[in-house]
Amino acid sequence: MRAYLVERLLAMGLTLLGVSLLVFAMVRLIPGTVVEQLLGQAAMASPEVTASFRRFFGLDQPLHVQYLGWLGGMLRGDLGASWLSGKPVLALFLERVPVSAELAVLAVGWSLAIGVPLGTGAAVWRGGLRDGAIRVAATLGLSLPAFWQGTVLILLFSVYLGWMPSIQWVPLTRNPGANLAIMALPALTLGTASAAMITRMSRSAMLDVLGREFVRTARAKGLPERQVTFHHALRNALIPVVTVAGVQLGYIVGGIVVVEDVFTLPGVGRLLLDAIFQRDYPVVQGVILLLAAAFMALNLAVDLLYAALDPRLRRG
Amino acid sequence: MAERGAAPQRWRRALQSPLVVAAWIALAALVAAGLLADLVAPYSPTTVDALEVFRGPSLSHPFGTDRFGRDMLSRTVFGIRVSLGIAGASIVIALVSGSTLGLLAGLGRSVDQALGRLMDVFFAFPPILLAIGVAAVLGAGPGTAIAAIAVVYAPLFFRVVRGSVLVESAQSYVEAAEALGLGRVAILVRHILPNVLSPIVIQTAVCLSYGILIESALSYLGVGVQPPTPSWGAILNEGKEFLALAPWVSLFPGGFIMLAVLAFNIVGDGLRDAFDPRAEVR
Repeated sequence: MRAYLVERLLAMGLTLLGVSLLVFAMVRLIPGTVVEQLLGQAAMASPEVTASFRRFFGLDQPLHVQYLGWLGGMLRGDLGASWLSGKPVLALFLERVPVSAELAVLAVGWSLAIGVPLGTGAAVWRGGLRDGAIRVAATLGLSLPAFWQGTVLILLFSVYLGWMPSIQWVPLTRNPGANLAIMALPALTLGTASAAMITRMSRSAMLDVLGREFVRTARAKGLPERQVTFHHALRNALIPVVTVAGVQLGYIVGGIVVVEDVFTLPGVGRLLLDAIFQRDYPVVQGVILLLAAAFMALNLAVDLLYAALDPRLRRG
Repeated sequence: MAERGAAPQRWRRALQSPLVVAAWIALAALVAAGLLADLVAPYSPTTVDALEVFRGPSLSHPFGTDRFGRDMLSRTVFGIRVSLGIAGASIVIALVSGSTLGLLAGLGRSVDQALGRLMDVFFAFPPILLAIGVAAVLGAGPGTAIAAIAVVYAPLFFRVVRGSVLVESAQSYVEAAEALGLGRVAILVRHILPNVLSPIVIQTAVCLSYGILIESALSYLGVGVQPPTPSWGAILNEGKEFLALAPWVSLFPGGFIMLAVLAFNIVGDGLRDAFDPRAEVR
């Protein structure tokens, strides 16, 4: 297990290096130099001013020096500062993390709470009307664009039913009730596709397990069906489901950008979009890199959890 | 090779379910409406009519009108062309480039490892985030959306094709071809490629549904297709400010996105059931 962990961490480090190179190259590829864009907006682009700006931002250095400088800073936890506010990128990111993390956890939480029972039910009722209804609902859930679902929910709840949670963001620690009222619809929207995916996965995992030898043995021993389903089968079926839930948590990292925009939540996704529109490249660069790192870390955690849950992998 | 002979039978099996047939018909209707948008749409998608601003659905405007009095049915129908066109073009690029790289991975261990490491970098991003990053670099526009979606899904085709190529390379017919003195490239193109077509077809259907979702998300966020071009996502972006006043501006194009994605998902499921050898076991 330890050798596996070390190997995975090394591979992740290497990939992260590639990711940093890609993100760096992407921002440097932006048409026209970023300084000219900044100055162009301010309409004061004399050659001297441009040169001094380039020097100030370190853009007069060769590319590899710029990259190594940026990489070195990153290793010390310095991702540069916003061109607009002057605040460190890492501080801006960490300020917004609680909103996005809460949203992601709530979304995965509800998708598990819905997906596992629905998938289990569909497997138990295989081929029946209820199975059909659950499968159709899951396919619908996978096809729903998050921004449209969010729009429809806002329309339904805020416009027609008059349910208006506070527009001002309230942290969970200060007022849990008001916070959850704000988060309910965004979390519902963000988790829908995951709930559909988990439903499908739970169904196929349960079908697989229900056909196994040990389940037949348990039935042959005369155990009640309920006990066979929940005690014997479900416990084994949950292993692949945990993996899917983890992978979904990773995809949710991407989905927050869209959902935070729909519901105007002050999270990391909103920070990224604002930075893109304001051409605040250090923030764009830093946030994309940190989100990719979070995505990779989640994938690694899922693999480790999978190894820990499945005794066959642990021994091997 | 036996798989190729059974292809017509598999296609018949793929069309057995009425739901899958309905999805194919829906897709055909969407594509036809998109291609014939000039004939199907009652108005031009960009004609402004100051007297018809924010009209609700009626006989003359079945999907209502927007803040410029433009006919929403016409904009939605022309939106098919933009949204499906971008998704289709980007997935074709992803398919060709990703599959070619996947086949190349079959050339040898060092090529495989180098390509695998490169693709890992792209897999390290959540798909929509990578697309937003690419779009931010290239600046908003239809070309940007195509490039962004292609970059996101080429690695997926690479992974699918590479996996199949590795499995096929171990088969006895490949050994036989090698014994006959055929070169590696010839074996890859003439013998292995026809046998990895099934996973490519399944992946294409699934990726088209993702492609539509990502295109509309990019345009909705304002980094993809820009107004007044009628992409479904861009129309939703315009409509969100007037949600309470004119919900129809957002509801109809969104419904079409869902319909198209749903149809591709069902078609993809049908193809998987018919062509995936593992599905037979169940």
